[in-house]
Amino acid sequence: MLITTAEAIPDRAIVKTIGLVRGSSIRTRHILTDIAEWIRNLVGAELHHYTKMLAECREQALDRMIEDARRQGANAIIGVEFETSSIASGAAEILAYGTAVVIE
Amino acid sequence: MTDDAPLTDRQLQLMAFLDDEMSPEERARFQREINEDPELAIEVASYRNLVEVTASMRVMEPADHEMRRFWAKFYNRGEWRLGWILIFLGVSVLFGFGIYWLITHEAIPLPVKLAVLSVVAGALILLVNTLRLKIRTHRFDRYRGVLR
Repeated sequence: MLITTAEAIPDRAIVKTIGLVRGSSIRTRHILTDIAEWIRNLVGAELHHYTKMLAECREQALDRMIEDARRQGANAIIGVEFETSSIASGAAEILAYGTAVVIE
Repeated sequence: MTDDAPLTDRQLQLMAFLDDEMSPEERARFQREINEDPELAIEVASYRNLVEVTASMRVMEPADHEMRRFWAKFYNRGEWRLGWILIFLGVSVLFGFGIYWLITHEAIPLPVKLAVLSVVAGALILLVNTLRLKIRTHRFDRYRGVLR
């Protein structure tokens, strides 16, 4: 599965456009992690638990988008973008979306 | 020269020369000085080398296993353990005392006592249930290994 943020793939022709595919994920840490990160926040540092949480969320959203594309018979996704939202406090929320296509 | 010693005029000029911060006239004048003074020429070459080396340096991100090792070491420190133990002890005592106070306080009507205990018991049941589910499904979480 080829995934690109570009709107086209220069060396491969698009045979068929399938349409929108997306995947989203919301993840949180447990309260003890939140307390630890809050303490670290007081002195300033990388909040590595939150970095990990965001990375997990991003990978899960990407995988779900790829699964969506695969289910619809695509072999590539173009114009991929990420969006974040703010529903739950202290949670990482990521939506990945793009256009599923079939390329040569 | 120590780290705290102020820079000499010559060093300031030299740095300005290498960082291209001189006017064309100043630059030409300094270039003449370099041509006439072999010691200064050597110093300029040395500083130029230093500039090139520092410009080529890149901050490397530590590898994931190094990060894991660092944080494991960090969290295993006694201070963190002691801190968490004290927090747990404090919260447990406060929680226990709150329940005890609620049960033994005569001014609070019985229905209110029962309602509060019911809310606490319900929340605990839900918490334990969710925790059990989390423990059971945690090992199947394929994103556990994602670090950054």
